[in-house]
Amino acid sequence: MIETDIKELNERIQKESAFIDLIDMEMHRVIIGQKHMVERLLIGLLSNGHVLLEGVPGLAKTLAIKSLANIIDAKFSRIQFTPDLLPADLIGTLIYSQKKEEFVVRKGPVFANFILADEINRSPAKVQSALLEAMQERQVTIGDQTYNLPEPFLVLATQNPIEQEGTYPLPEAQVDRFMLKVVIGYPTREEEKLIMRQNMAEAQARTKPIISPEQIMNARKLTREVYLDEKIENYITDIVFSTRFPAENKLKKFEGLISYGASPRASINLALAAKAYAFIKRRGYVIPEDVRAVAHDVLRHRIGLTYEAEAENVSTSDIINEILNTVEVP
Amino acid sequence: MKGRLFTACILLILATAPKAYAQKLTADTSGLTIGQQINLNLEITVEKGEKVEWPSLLDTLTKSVEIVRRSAIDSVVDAVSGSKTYLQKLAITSFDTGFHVVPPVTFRVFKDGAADFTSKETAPFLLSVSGVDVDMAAEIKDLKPVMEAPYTLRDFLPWILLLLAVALLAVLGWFYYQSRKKNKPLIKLTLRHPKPAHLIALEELELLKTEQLWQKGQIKDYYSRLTDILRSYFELRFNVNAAEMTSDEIIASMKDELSDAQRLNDLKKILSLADMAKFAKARPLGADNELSHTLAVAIVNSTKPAPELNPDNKIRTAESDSDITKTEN
Repeated sequence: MIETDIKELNERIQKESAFIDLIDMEMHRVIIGQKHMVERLLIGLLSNGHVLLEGVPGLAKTLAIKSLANIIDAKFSRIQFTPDLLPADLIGTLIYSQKKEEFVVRKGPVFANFILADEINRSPAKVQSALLEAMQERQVTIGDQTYNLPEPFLVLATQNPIEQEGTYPLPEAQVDRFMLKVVIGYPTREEEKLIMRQNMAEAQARTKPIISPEQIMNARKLTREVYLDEKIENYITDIVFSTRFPAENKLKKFEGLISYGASPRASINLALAAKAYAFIKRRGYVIPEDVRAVAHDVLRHRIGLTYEAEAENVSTSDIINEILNTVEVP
Repeated sequence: MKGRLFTACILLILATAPKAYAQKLTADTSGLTIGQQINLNLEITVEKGEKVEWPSLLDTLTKSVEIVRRSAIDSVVDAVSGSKTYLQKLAITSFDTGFHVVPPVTFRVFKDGAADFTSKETAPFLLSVSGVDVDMAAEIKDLKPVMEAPYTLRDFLPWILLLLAVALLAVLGWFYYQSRKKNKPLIKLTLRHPKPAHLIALEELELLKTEQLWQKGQIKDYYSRLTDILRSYFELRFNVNAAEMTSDEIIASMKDELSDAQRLNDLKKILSLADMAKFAKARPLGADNELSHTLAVAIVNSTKPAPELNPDNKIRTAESDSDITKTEN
């Protein structure tokens, strides 16, 4: 029934994506709820994109990435961003060795598979840009030597939305480098009770390594092979163009509310994230549901709002919802 | 010699003498009849470079003398000496008979750039206000009636509007009378009922069948058309934005509308097969394509509105309702 290549791909994905369930199970041993966050971490992992997490403290952001690193048997670094942090504290520096009578390289915490950049907006722009450059180039230059960062390399940065004093908000150009911006909410009442019980128990649940970084690399290759039909490409383009030219896409009411629309990077990331989502759902092809499922996380940090929008209490989430409800699904 | 000495003395006296500011408040006349308006001239002459703070006068000069209006302050410059004269005209009146003292008015004169000033006052004068002479021997006349203000268009406007309304009613009445006489409706309303959603959907499904798209190998187009027809039908029939919904969302929104579980499963089957054909290059078997069409027709037929009974207890089908010309009085 299905053309051989996609049928075969579908079967391969069915088989190869089994580890997703294992990761999911293992993650939920230590993290109660936060299914959305865990799923987005996996999307970032599979599509080689970085994730910006926004949520109040105490929502298991650090625990999630630490657990994910442990499950994948990968190296994990946590960097607490502070106002006095320097780029060298992040990427490393040259130190003079008296014994060797020469400068030796001391690599910074950025040389790890999983980086948690905690409260990224607490550090000045030069430190932020050092990390964001490493994220983009996936290599770091110390002295006159360039070093590749290990693979997989996934950066998860956190931002606290309620405290703005003494912070250096990420400029739009730098926020755009994050594939997803995930807004984390509070757990439900039932989840909250389970969290309490789990933390009061004598034996704390721990994750154990179940897959290797090589398996992740293979899964990434397979994710890229997920079939994306031209109809879906058109759907993604329609959504992105609606953020840029709302009036031309039956959204005249948003014309004065959007200061700038999503960049072409948004289209790329929307396609990649939709493929990863299809992979997680163990499908070899993308359907409109996949695009819609990731649209908020891909677009929310790529749409600029005007003062009028803020005055009228219109959020990017409202705009994305309206766009998704207006653009025709293929 | 004596003459020269005298001239020198005169010049010395003039040079050392205090400056004579010419401030004054004068009236056109010193007496007026009660209620009559007269003009007062308030003026001051100052040396070149000096500035004047004009007295701020309220609406009365004294308790009994009222200021009716005042002109702008005018100024005249003497071309030879450079001195400047400021002038203002005040129109005053009084409604109390008798003698009223017009008090002095004080000016403040400032040297150029200096903070201190010199106060200059005008001389007070007496104003006599006399009453009207009444001839006691003359015949007593009645009070004059209140004067009528001249009429404007605003006064007639309500009447004009009333007349127009009456005229309009009269014209409408005439038309109504004529139409009743000829037994014709006053306004002929022609209402075309839109074609029911299920009829449109069934027609389009029939058209899709005749086009034989899947038989020609256009599987993707066939399923796109099939799902579009169903989406449009759901939009018109159930008022849901099906065109902007994904397959899962359509199924979720149709749960309440498709009461028959079998039909919901049929819809799931069609949409899932369509997704595979549209987005995964799937080429369903001919039998599946036929089945999808048959199921779509069944879904439309099972959800079309029930025929309603008209007042004559005759069943009125939607087909017969599709094109009705209604005349309403």
